Amino acid sequence: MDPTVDKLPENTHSKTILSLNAIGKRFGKVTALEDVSVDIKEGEIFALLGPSGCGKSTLLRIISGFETPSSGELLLDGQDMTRTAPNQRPVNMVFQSYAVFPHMSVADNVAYGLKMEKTPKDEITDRVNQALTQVHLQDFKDRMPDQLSGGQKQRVALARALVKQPRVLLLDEPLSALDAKLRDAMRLELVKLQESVGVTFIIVTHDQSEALAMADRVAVLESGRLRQVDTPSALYQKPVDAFVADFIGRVHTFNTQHISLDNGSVTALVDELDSITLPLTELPDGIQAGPQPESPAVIAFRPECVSVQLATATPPAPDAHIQFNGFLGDIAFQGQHSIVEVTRGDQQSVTAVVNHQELHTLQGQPLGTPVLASCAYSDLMLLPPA
Amino acid sequence: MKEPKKPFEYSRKWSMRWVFLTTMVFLYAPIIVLIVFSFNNSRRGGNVIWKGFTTKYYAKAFANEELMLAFANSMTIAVTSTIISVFLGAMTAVFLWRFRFPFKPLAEGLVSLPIIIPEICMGVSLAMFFSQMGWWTTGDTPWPFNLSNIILAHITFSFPFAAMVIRTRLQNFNREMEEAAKDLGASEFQVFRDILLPHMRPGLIAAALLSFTLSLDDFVITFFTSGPNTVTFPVKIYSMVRFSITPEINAASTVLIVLTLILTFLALRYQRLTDGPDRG
Amino acid sequence: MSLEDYKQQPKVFAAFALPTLIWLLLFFVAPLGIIWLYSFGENVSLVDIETTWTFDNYARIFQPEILELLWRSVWIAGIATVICLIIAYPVALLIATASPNAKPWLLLLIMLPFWTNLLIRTYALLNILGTRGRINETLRWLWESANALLNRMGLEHLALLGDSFTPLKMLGTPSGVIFGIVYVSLPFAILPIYSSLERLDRSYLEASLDLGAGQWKTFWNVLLPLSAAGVVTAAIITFIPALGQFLTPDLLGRGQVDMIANVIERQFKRANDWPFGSALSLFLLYITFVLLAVRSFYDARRGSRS
Repeated sequence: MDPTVDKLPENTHSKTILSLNAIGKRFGKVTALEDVSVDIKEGEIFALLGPSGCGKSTLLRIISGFETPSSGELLLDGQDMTRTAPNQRPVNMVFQSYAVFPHMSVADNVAYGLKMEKTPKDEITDRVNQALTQVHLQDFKDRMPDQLSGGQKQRVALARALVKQPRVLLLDEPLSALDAKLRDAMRLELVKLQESVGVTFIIVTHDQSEALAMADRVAVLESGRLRQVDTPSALYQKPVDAFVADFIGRVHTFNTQHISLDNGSVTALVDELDSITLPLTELPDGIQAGPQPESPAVIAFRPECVSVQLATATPPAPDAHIQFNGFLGDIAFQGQHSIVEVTRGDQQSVTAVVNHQELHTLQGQPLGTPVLASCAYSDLMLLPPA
Repeated sequence: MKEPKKPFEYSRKWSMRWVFLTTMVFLYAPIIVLIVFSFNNSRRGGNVIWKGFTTKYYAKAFANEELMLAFANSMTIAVTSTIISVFLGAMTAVFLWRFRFPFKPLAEGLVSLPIIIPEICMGVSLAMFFSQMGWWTTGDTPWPFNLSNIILAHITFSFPFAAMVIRTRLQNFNREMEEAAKDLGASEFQVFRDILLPHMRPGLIAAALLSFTLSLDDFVITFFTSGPNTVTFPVKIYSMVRFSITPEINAASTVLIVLTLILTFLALRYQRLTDGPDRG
Repeated sequence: MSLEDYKQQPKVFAAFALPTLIWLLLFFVAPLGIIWLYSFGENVSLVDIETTWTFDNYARIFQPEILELLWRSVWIAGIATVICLIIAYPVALLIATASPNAKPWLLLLIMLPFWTNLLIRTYALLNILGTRGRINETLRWLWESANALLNRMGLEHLALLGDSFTPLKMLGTPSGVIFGIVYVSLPFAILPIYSSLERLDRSYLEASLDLGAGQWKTFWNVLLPLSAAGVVTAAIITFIPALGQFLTPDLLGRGQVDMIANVIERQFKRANDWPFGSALSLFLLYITFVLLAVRSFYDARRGSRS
């Protein structure tokens, strides 16, 4: 099954539910977050993605109220919530460890938040049942947490948060504690659950495949700064800089020496290679033309766009392809496709993801056979450096 | 078939087993002799020769009013000091576990000092303190207030142990539980009552049993802080031992040993709960 | 897990911390302060002491008979500690290498006597060590059996085993006191050694064997050095209480083998010389601090090496 089928078209979430305005957070001298501004829309799955220590967990804790930002403000449905205590916010969280109370039964865990609101007993029973049904735990009401598996505990944590009917549900690394198989199943299930309850989900994760598969939009954070907020496909196809390109999927990057824009085309002098001309009519944001001491931009392309052929075969058109002469390295068979390494002496090697047909021509050739790797100019990305 | 001995399986070497067995005999023989001879039908002190089985020394011990008063005193002291020790120990454990504050190593050192310093120093200093303050030192204070000094002394040496046990339990508390409760709308107090306290409970019980045992065990500090007419069980046995050795002392001692054994087993059961990892 | 800064919730912090701190100041620091003042004082009447900041009480510690007492306390505690360590090491090693099922039970066996009242354990030894105690009765029985055997062999005229059985005198001698201290402090010695052996990675031993060292060489060159920290801890936490022992020398020494605590007790209960008793108590406390400092120094040095 393809998780992307569950995604709602983008125009259905138009109304902003949560606004982060210029959020900054310092711990002593360490800056954890700097000038983070983003609007999260009602009903979407929004992922905060970044390597560990990028500030994504701090941001989640600011939204949940366990941290107060040093600067900036947080608006929920247009109301300032920056300094509201966590127990007063209509925002609930599924913790990374699930934090299911070990001394309470499943039903008591789910009922806890409602008891805190002084909800009438009958209503508690009804809503608890309903929430447990939503996560398929209706038969586990009276179990104690130590009789549950990791996946079941996570459902309890989900039910416990959802039963409060929060405006926004926060999920901190929701899949990291599960084993690989369960993780894939749970991805789909979370997306389906979100669809059926309609609550806005904010998911923190360090796993880009998780973010791409589940989220409607993804925010890429690095060193406390927001690098890019976009849909998964836009992040993949149009990363704003080399960091995002490298973080979302694999990428080869080559520094450039000189960029020039003339007559509606961009020319770049690439390290290790000749000058190339890109089919662009203007320079991307953050890149300036002219000779500069530091590399002004990088040329990036993905291994999926690289083709490999024997050096003896007819080469592709040289004025439309970037080409690398090299030697056949290791081939890793991966089922649908294979990964081929092209070594280039002491220069960086190039990796290609090739299909069965391409693989066929290469298989059986001894290691070190001269080959040609190439990538069409149209698949190249010109990006500001990381 | 028996597995061959691996090079470092010391526990399977006969020489090691003999050392262990001899040590066990060394540790247990005196206590077993003491218990066995509490049933010896002989008036003579020293418990030398077995003269037949009797329980009359138990009857005699239970009929000894001074001994029984001493026992009642010891129990009163143990119960009172346990309650306060656990309370104080829990507070100590929580603040040391939860907060970062200036001079924390100093505070930690101060809390663990009563565990480390020689009993005699603590006994002497508390005795001097009480006499300086003129607290219940005259001997005509009515029961149970004449026990106050001993109770204060017992709390002082046992609450650091209680704090240690409770802190161990707190150490494997998942702070996300607290945040989860707050996130679900609980106030600071509700978090404490609904989440932290239930988590601490096995630690509190283990600490209580430990404090109780420590209080019953103590001789030296009690010996110094007891007033002229206040006698506890160990102090009473001490004065009886100095006078002569009789099977009655053996009987009284056996009662205390059995009591301590029961408490120890209970403590260990809860200790196991305490040390177990959180399956949460 | 991160700790909270006390400034975030000063009231909660104060509510939890103050009772403990006040209690310790009142019932621990203040009492020690009082005997500290007394130690610089003089008796002005039977019960009144004036703090005159004299060093006489400390000077008296260096009188020959007190020095002799200190020396006796140190060597009795020292020998007892060494004996404890010698017994404790193999016992700890056995427990550490026992099967996981047996371990808790073996540990429990070690701990159980430790939970029994110290006075009762010492009293139990009285029954064992006396001239008519278990040990001497067993020896007497052995002597009588051996003698009877010799008599039957017609050797009575030689009186090979002496004319009559002379019981070993243990009560009232240092050996009796040492026996008692070893008896009451053995668990203190076993547990730290056990925990250092328990944490030891067995592959070090296997590596040593693999590199050609024998069992004994491995023991001396690998096992013992790697568990040295546990042995040092065991030595110190056995020695400190042993040095301050009151009951064992009192009951088993019969007033003939006094240690520091017995003399301290006498100053307060009979001699009524509180200033000197205070000085002696504090002296004992200072020795304790020095030993603890030695241990943390040792730990710190080990820590910096690894």
